Amino acid sequence: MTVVAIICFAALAACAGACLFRLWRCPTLVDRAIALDTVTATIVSGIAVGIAVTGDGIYADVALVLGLLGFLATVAIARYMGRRGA
Amino acid sequence: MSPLDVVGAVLLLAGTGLTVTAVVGLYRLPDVYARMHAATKPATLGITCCLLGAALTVDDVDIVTKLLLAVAFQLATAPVSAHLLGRGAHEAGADQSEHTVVDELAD
Repeated sequence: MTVVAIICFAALAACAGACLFRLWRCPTLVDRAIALDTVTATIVSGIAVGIAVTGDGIYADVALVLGLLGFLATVAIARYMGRRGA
Repeated sequence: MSPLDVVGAVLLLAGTGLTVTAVVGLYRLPDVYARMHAATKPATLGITCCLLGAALTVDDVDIVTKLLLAVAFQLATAPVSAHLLGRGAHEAGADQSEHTVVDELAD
């Protein structure tokens, strides 16, 4: 399990880094929103791997709330974008 | 390691692979709508696989319930947010790939 966790954590950290770079350097606002969404998804996946390794349930709440907050953030950005473009 | 642990580890690896796929798609696909597809479908399935893998390896009912609830919320909210984002992008006039065949929102 430890080997699996190390592989997963390394790959997810690389993913989050790539998404953050995309968030920093990308062409449009929509791309930023998508990158932010993917960062949230990566963090939730990382929390799941952490729960599987430690068996510690505290972070399950964090994963639940982070998923919902990511949804709210995306909805807010989408509303703002549509209003600005119209 | 019990058989459940093995299945959980495989699910964790699968979820990580799908997240990597999503990020690769984020960089490689031609326009905003295709990138949104990459960020939504593999990422949602990746989260689902990771959370289910964690739920299989943990033996506390509380934690498993919370993880399954997180999966349900993710599956319910991801299509909605992607739909809103796509509509907002179209209203804001995002560029489309030259391979786009049909634009049903245009009329």
